[in-house]
Amino acid sequence: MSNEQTPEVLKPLRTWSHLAARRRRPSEYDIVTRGFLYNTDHLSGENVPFEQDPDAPMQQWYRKYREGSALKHDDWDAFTDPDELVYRTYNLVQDGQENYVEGLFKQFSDRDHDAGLSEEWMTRLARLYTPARYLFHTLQMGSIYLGSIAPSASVANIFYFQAADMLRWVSRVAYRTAELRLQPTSGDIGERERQVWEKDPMWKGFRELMEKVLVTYDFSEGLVALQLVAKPAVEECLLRALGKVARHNGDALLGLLNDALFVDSERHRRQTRELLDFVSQREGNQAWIDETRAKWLPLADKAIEAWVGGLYDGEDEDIDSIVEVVKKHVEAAYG
Amino acid sequence: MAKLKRSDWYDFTRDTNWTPKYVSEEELFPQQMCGMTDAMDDWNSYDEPYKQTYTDYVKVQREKDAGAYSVRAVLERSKMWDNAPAPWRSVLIQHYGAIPLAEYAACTAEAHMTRFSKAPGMRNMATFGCLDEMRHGQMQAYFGHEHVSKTRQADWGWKAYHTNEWASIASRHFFDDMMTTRSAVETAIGLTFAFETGFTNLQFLALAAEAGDAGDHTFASLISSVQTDEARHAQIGGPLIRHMVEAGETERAQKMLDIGLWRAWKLFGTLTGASMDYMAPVELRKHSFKEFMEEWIVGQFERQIIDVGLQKPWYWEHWMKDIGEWQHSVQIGLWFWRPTVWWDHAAGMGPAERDWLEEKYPGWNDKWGKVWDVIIRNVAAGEIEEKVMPKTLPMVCNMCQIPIASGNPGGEWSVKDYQLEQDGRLYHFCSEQCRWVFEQEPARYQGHLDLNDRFLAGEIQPPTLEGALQYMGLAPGEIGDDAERYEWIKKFTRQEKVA
Amino acid sequence: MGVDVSTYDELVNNNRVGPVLTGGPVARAVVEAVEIDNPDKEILIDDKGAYIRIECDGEMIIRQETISDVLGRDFEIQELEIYLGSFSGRIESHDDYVRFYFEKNV
Repeated sequence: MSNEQTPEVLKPLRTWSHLAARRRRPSEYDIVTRGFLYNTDHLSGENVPFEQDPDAPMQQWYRKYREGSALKHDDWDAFTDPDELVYRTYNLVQDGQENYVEGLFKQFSDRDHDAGLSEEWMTRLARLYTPARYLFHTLQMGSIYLGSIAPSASVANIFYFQAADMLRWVSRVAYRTAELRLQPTSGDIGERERQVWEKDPMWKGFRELMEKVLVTYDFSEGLVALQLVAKPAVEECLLRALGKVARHNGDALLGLLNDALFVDSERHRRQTRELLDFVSQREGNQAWIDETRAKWLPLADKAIEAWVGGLYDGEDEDIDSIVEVVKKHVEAAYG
Repeated sequence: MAKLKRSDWYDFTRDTNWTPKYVSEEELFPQQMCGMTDAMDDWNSYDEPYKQTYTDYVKVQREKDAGAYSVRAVLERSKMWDNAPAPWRSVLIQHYGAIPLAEYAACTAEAHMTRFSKAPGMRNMATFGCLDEMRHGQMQAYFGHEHVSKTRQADWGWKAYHTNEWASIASRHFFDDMMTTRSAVETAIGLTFAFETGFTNLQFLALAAEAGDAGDHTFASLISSVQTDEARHAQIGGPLIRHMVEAGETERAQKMLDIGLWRAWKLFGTLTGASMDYMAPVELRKHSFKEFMEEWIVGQFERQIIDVGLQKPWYWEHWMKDIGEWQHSVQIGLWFWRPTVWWDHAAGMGPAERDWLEEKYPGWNDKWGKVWDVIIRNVAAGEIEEKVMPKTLPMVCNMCQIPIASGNPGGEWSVKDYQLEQDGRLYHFCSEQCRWVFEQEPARYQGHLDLNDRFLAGEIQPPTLEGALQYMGLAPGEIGDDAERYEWIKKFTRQEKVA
Repeated sequence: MGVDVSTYDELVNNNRVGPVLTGGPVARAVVEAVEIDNPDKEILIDDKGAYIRIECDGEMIIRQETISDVLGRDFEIQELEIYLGSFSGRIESHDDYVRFYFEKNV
């Protein structure tokens, strides 16, 4: 090295070297999120995510479904969760939300709320509500997969948090299922949910939709199918439309519980909207998203029609116009 | 009416399996990602022994974080850093480089188990596991980041996994193999059972005990808090093994366990082993790495293996010999090749240190001591550049990617190279075990190039140590040096003068 | 340094079960509670500073109520996780107690 210049001795910095050039002081979110997914670096070879044989099966899986996915961006790490959620703050937020729900449950249980529910409503809950744990669980599986196949940590984390939120929803249905069973009028509640989920025509549409979403392993298509189509459809039916009908049938608790869970949905929609804005900066992406969404929407429409039909079964309502309203809400989920 | 007990409603949260109708079972759970065979069924009966609910999860985890992130804890860590002996700072720099991004990669592993396991209880526990791993990545990165203004090497808290530094390659090779590239079944055994029920106890509890003894209580409580999450989600693998044993797949479970244990041993014997026996202040160091291995791996973990219906690994005898030797052999390699790591490795030498080593490892002086005698002589003579500085890269193993250093030091240090020819290529391994791992699934490993292969393929230019350091992402200011800038040699020269 | 592997076989062949807790007031309370909840057992304590290993042979029960009594405040068994860094044996978590055990006796 005698005739070369002595290389500069690197000095300590104020933050990670990859953040040091930015003008803004890095936030906690920046420090613990950006650049955390190392296997997108392809350090051991071109287009080789993992440190092993370049053609090993998982290399091919990621090469196909992540690296080769339709939506492109030069710097996925630049995506920022608008809530800048980190693990620490996620627990703070959700512990607060869970305390609220616990409080609700206590108040209503103290007032013997469930004893006041009609036998007819109980029968409907066994069909409309308690089987929802299966549907919410498919969202849990789908959300976590999107996290695992996401192209950066900042994108992955919003789906990891969402997956945990879906477990929250499953758990709240489970709790209510057990609580409702304590009533002498509870009928089939807690007994036949799997049969209803697998056999009842009102659930078939959602089951078809979610089974097909779950086997959509490509990141981009999975993102559109789950976030833009399936999940909003589930939320508009299972949280909002059901909440409204519950209130009408004297089940204020279910209305309030679903409102509380919808707070999670609002965060997911904020984050997804931001992600859409982020990817649509690049030419071609928006058109691909619109096209893919249009491809998936009919399945969601079918699911909504069947489910809302079941929701108002036996009530004298104009189901077609309600279905149209729900569909409109789904389409408007991202503004 | 009162709040329901957990057991009143918990089963509904894990009664979520259904029969797919619009897609096939194989599409929903591809064999590559799932790994569960037809012989293993009745997944609703999978019973996670360490149960947790969402409500309790966010409450307990919030509480766990409250202490670690308090302002007081931040101040204490900063003070500790300023007052810590240089070798202990190196332990921190090494830990923060080697651990946080690997923890974050474990989110992918937990996510795969959540999505691709057929057992609903496992899917739920792995959902918490995924968040746990995010916690470990973020929390340890955040605290590692506190040191960036003190030394440029602290930047490796983020940077290490983004480089081709050899220990980074070795870490990625291990974690990618155990965590991110296997089916849900293999991940549950290799990661949650072999690694998390076994080895993480060393990195997070044994090291915490050593940190506590060294006076670094905030680091001790930070890493032991990490382990409280591991203790829970590590329980994912146990009940799965029961299903495998009942389905007649004991052999498959045993093989995955043997692979996982050996691979974890090589990496953690290297990083943690050498740190524990050489880098913590000797006057405060109570237990040797071997003693911690005996406590955690032999006494606690191996006993659990037997209880779930598996056996000690086939290389048990060799391994038990290794737990008293490997860390000493690799310590010499780590110190000699100190420019190739991102921390300032400590020699850990001095009369008191040698007495401690001889006491904990009788016969140490006759073996590794003899190698150090030569090093000490050269350092004392001021011949550091000439005689105790590497000129080339170390020879690494094609499996563990760690310098080949095992063997029998002493009069003649005969380092043995275990070879294998496969499809016209000659592979070099550090041990029979690493070669055996390769042979179990050559297609998984065979096209990978280790550091020496890359050097020979001309990927490293110029083909000199300087070129290699550049390739590894190590620049002046980051390149490892002796942790005490050779001041420790005075402990020997003073002694000679007194004598 | 000849290694007698049989020594290691002896180390493996134990039936000790119990929690490994990070040190502090709760760990001390658990030690006391374990003595109360497992009256016929010899309880072994190994205090390593950063963690305390609490073990006995075969089976150990830790009850929420007993810890609450010792601490003089409400203690929910889920709180134990905050301190439970590891454990020997196997675990079973229940509504108001935790059990450590082995299935096989060696």
